[in-house]
Amino acid sequence: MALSDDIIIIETKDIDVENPIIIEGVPDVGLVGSIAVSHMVIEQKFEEIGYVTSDLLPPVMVVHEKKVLNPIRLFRKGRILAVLCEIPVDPKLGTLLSRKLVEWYKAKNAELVISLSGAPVEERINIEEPAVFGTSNREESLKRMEGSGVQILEEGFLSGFYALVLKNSMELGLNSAVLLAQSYPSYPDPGAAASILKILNKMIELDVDVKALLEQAEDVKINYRTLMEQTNASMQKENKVEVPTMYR
Amino acid sequence: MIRRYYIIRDANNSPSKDYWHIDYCTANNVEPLIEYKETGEMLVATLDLPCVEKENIEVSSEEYCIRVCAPTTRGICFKKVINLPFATEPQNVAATFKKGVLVLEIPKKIKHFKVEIK
Repeated sequence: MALSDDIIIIETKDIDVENPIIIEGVPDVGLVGSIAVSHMVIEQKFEEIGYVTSDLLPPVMVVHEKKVLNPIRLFRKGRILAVLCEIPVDPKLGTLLSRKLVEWYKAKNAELVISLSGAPVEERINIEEPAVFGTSNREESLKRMEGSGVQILEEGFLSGFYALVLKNSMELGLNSAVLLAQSYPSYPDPGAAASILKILNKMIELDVDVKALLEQAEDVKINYRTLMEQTNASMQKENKVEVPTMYR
Repeated sequence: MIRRYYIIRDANNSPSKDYWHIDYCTANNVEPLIEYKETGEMLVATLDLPCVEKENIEVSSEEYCIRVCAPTTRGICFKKVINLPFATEPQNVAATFKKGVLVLEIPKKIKHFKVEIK
């Protein structure tokens, strides 16, 4: 049987919400997005409302608190929807998944899409409170981020999954933003995830307590070690893309 | 016993040809995540060692090899053998441990000299 490139979003609950705000956590630098969204959905008791399935996904299921779960799941609390991915996303899967997700966000009339990620810094070990940088395709979101303590990127280069989400959002006319916390390049970074959640608390109607995340940071790093190892391998493939010299 | 899972890819990186390799370790040993930064004078290796107490870390250095053993409070042990592509001065290898990260500064024995052009 030939494998298909189709990516299917399965909604297991009715998603009747007007103009949702969507928060994405997909594994990349420091696993910042995955750790932040995972903590947010547990701490804020989000309801699981669906998952993503495809032949392109590796043969992995996730076990949390004795429950077998899909590795890419959708959550909801009020008008906030969250996408949590707990498997590495290689370039081909990333291209197709970002397109499918952005089409789904458009179908849901999303007010804002916020992608969470890490900005690798060599001296992360000497940084107590990682700074959060951001960019968006809309002026209104840039103002909203700046008012929440985000340092807006003046010049730079985004690559990988979130670059595709921004590109697809621009093509489909969606309001999309990327938040990047200073992070270890190749280690899981719960501290960076906590910084980004503090910013999200200011940006949207959230009240995520990051105390437990910081207290359990060492355990979180152990739990995410294998995913980080596989994500590092996946990112090395993306890094083969030549970045214009002016952005280096 | 810890099972470690890896995605192995074929030469064409085709996802459809991926398969899973399962490594059944007989001991609770895992390799830590590691980053390298090399200069003309030294190699700096940083190892992520969460749930490890500084007192329990063992680092031994040889001319062409550094060995790290760090038992965690979670029942697993981080083990790493760094084979060096250059000779070092084992007595001059420096190690610091901060925020769960071990930084090894491994000096190169070979010195670089500026050659004077006459």
